Amino acid sequence: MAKVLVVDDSRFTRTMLRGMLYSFGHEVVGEAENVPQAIESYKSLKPEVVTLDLVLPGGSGIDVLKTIRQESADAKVIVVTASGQEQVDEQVLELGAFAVLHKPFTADEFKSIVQSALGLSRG
Amino acid sequence: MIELSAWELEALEQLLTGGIRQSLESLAKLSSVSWRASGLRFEHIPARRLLEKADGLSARHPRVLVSTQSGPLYFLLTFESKGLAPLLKALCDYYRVEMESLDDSARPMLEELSNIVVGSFLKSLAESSKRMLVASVPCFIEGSRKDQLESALADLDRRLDGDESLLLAGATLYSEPLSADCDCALLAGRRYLRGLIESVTFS
Repeated sequence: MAKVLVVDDSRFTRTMLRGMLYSFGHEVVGEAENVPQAIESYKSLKPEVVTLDLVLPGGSGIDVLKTIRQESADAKVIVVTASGQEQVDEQVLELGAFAVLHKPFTADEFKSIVQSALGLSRG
Repeated sequence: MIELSAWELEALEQLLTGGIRQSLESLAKLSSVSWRASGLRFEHIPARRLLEKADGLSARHPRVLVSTQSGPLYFLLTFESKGLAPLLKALCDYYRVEMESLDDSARPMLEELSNIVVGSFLKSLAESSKRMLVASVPCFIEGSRKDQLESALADLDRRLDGDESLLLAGATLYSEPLSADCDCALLAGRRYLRGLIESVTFS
């Protein structure tokens, strides 16, 4: 079981990710719906994996990604977005995101990425 | 008023058609049924007249407005009440979400659907124009809250240059198996659109 932080302004997406993560056997230790909440939650909860939306009230998920990577170079951040734009993917991967998951995605696709992230983090 | 040339109009139609196709593919993936589009239409309209038109919009159907951070480019999605239930059920089934966990509220589901439809559209637009187009947080507009829409359109109006007019383009996305309709309207400043068109490459 891994500790996961879900960052998304969408109530639907938080509910969906929480349900999937529980079904995969992981624990959602926190949820955040804006930039300040996300940064505070990451610092206090130290999750193994973060799912991160890029469009957030009061800022951008990019800001969250940068802060998390400054806090921990080993942080595993999975960007979950409805944007399938290559430029966006390239930008977040350059900033250290582990992977980008494009909506709509299947539970199996999400599970596979989470497992890969944990496999790397556990060496 | 900036006039678009015949070539630019053709390029614009291709841009919009590509965006709609991408949105249809995402809706089909989500719902496991086929989706089509009908009635692609264009209308040049002064921004202020659009604000007046907001007064005449029906309050019976739920709407979601999605703006972009990249320029004066907004999307207004209107969902036909009649086919809403099967559409929302399809979304929840796809993501294994219990509708009861959302208190049976349509709002988060429609915001998510709109996020996906617009995100898919922008992907196609971004690939064609070689630009990064970032959507903002979807804004659900409740039936009687016309002030929300007026506020958003006034914001769009402020982002236009001087006497720049708007292009209003739209199409209806529909699924016969679900009996579901979504009217998708794109509102964009014509100078901004012209800039997009000038950078277009079609594969």
